[in-house]
Amino acid sequence: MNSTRTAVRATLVSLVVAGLLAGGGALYVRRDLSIARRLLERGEHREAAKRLQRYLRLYRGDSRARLMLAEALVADDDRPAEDAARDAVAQLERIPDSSPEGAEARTRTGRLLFLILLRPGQAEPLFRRAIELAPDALDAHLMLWNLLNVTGRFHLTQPVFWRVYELNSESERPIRLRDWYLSEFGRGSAFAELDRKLGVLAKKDNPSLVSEYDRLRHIRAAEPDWPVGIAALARLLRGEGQKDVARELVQLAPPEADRDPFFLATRIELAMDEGNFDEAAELFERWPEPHDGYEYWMWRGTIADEIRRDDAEAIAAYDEALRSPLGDTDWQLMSRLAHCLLRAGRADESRSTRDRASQLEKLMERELHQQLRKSFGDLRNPAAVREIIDFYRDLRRDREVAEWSAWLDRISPAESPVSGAAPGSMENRKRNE
Amino acid sequence: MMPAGATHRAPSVARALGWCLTCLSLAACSDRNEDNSRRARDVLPEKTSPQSLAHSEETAKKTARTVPETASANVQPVFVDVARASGIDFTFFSDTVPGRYFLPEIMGGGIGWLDFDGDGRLDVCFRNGTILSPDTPPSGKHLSRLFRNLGAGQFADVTRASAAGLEAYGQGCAPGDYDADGFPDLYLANYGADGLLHNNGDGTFRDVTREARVSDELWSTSAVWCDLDGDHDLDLYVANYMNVNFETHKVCEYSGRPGYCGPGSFHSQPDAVYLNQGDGTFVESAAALGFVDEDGNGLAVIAADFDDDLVPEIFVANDMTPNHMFTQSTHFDAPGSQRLRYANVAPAGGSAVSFAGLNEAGMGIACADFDGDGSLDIFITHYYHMKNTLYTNRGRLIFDDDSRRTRIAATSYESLGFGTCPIDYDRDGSPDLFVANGHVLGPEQEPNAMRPQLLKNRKGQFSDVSDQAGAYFQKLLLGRGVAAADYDDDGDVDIAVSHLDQRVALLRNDTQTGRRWLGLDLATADRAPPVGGRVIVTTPGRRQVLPIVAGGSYLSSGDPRIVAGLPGDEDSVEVEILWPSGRVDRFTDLAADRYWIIREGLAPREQRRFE
Repeated sequence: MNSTRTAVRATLVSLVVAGLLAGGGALYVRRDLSIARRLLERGEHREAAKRLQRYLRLYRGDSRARLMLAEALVADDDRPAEDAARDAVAQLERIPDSSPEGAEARTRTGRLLFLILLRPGQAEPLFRRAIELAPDALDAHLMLWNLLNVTGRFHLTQPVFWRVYELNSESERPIRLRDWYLSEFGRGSAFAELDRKLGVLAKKDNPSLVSEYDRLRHIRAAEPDWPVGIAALARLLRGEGQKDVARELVQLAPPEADRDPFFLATRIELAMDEGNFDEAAELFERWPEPHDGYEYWMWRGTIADEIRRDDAEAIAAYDEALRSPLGDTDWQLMSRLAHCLLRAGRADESRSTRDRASQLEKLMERELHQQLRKSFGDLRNPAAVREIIDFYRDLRRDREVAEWSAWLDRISPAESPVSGAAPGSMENRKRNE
Repeated sequence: MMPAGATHRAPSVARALGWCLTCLSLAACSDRNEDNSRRARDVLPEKTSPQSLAHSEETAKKTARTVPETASANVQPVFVDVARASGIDFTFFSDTVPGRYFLPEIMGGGIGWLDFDGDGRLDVCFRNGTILSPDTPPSGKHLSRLFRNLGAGQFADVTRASAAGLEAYGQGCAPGDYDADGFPDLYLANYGADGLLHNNGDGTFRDVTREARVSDELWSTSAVWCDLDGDHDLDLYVANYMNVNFETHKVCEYSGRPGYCGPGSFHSQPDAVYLNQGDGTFVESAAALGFVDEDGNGLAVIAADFDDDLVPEIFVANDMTPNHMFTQSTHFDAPGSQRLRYANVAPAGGSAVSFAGLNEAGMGIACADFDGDGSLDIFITHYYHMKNTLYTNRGRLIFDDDSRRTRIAATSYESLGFGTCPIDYDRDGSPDLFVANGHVLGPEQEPNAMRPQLLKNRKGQFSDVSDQAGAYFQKLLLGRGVAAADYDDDGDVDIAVSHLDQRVALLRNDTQTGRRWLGLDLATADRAPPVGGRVIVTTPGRRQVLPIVAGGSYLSSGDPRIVAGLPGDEDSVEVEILWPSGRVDRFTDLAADRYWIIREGLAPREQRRFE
């Protein structure tokens, strides 16, 4: 009996000691988290990472800690950026969508894949997923907008941009509007900062077609099978007259690339260039759902126009394309519509459409935009802002007019424009002629 | 294709940059140099042939052949350069000064075919340049040249004997019998003062420029004779280019290397219209007649009837500005009164710009019924990495840019076209095309020299058959003026080509078609070419509509006669001539394989030569 009591006592003591030890160990490990936090603040990223890795061995489900670990890994300047990024991505992928940090994890993963590993094809679905998880996630929207821009899918950017805009503070919104203007009308230089982050443009260099080419080339090298990357590069090459190379490039894509409408549209365009109309028409039949958006309608119209000579269908399709985001400024498409209307015997509509196309063409002139850029550099100047409003009013971009007018109202309440054309606008000039 | 909002794709921006069409920055022109060629190759795997990618001189030999095609199964095109063997030894003097890059140096000169001595054989005029410096007086060394056709394929230089050798920086050459004395006169468009040489009828010319009042100091390029005011004599339309002189001169840079500046760097000059007063003088009347030429950098002009009313329109191909299509309209100053006016219908009708609404770099024009529907279509040569354009005539002066559909676009991206002519080399009734190519940025840029092209027309679709056409088509050249003519009267059309700083070529057409032909030499009752009229040649199973045009190509004028290939084995054909006056003459059983001289209202007579 004494021996039994002793054994029990010993077991109890052991359990208590073990418990104390475990608890103490856990407390000790928990300290790693707070220590790591302080180390991160001091810039001691490698040490912070060690602490966090130890912590996470015990507390695997701590998503916040895992976010911190990813941050620490990436911030370690002593390691090659790509290696650090890969390790960070591996950590972030362990944070489930269902976690409160799920959206942030998706966004950060996307950022690493996009900005450091040059894999926008893998990054894009992550940004979209982050937006699903957190519809007000500014960073995810911003990154998606940037990604669409630098991969040539400008026709998809408008709804994303306006969400970015709404999520920004009021004081930042004019800057966003300026970025929006540059992304549409100053693409030659709009993405310089991003290209520098991507490592395709040196700090001392100015952006150019060469840097755009290098960006797309590197993206394609990192994701050789990504249809969008192939298509974006092919479009640039085609635009610079290297149609043969563009064509060879798209022929190297995997068969499933045709499921991407941006890629498919590129193939259609190249086929049309060569006069391979049967091929172009057949490719268009493969357009994946949804059958909507600027490029779909534009190509539907073009095929009806140039291949089938079906003016009625071409007119309807071109109308849809011109109503789609950013289609409203496509004066070239408008010219095509005008010609279809002429062929269809709708001479008056043709004339007015052609006139509008001509107006839009003038609004794209270099001299006008050189002046506008000065205005965009002086956003607290009411006169400069009024010039911007005039431009967008001539372009019939109601939302931009409204937002810039709101800004004007903030910086100069007494000078907010009344309804109708501002003095310098094209509409007002025409009225005065 | 993306929405056209971006200024770095906007053609109006490109206009400011001139010939660097699709780019915003100077670096964008680097697609024309080796650095970007290497970059382009970088994106493809090693196994891809670099020859298909590089834009070196060597690759230029292949790159023009984007849509290779074997020649028509039965007909191999054969063209042989017989210039020197024929006695034509002439090289255009461009006065290119290394490092100067003064734009006229790069434009070359034109060619005109005419029977100046009335012996029934076509003679040929080649324009020449001269010293461009305004401080240098004429030396007499650099004359435009006239070669007399002696028959048997031989020519003699009769420049001095004929006094046809005007010394000027020569551009266009437009023969036309403005005084209807039966002997074609010569209008010589120049960079600077132009010249009108009256044909004295005795083998000589006299300079009547001053008394005729048909000159200005502008940079004149192409010219065409045509009755513009309905008074049955020949008036003159002169295309003018740009305000380029030593004061406005500048050197441009492309990828860090110097080159010639293009249209975006200079202002346009208005075209001129000289109305023949019937007394040897002319009155400049462009504004009075409504030939409003805003922003027209005119390089080529053609007079032809495009809307089947037998009244010619004037079509002007402009370089990086919209083309013009001037058609007669009536203008009522007051109730009951009416004054002849012209209106430019190109913008409304679709022939001003490309299908995408873009200005194109119009250089040369060739008009023919390419799709066999009986109406006149328009082919225009354009810049490197831009497509040539084929406007299909839809009637009512509406045109569709069918460059892609007809595969004209596919044949032209890798070339820069100048002079051009329609030529049914295989006599199948479908007009084919010849194009002279050559770049304009100067020797520091690549590509520079390019191969000419022969494009076969098969039911309205074109393919490049140059590889089969002879040694000339393998040469790298700076092709400029082109003028077609059946100079040896054997029923097939030959081609004279002027190059920049290289000897001219006379491409004798030796193609064996196995088919017959019919030649027509037409004139109205007023001895004028029936510009605006049309000829319909009917054979069993085929009806060819052959519009009568004047001008075209680049700076050049071709054989005014018509040669119709006869696809079958007919001994004789039926011919219907719709004269501009409205009269219709019909002739059945015109014998094939010969030329017929037909004057309006009179019976045809076979061509005979005065030996």
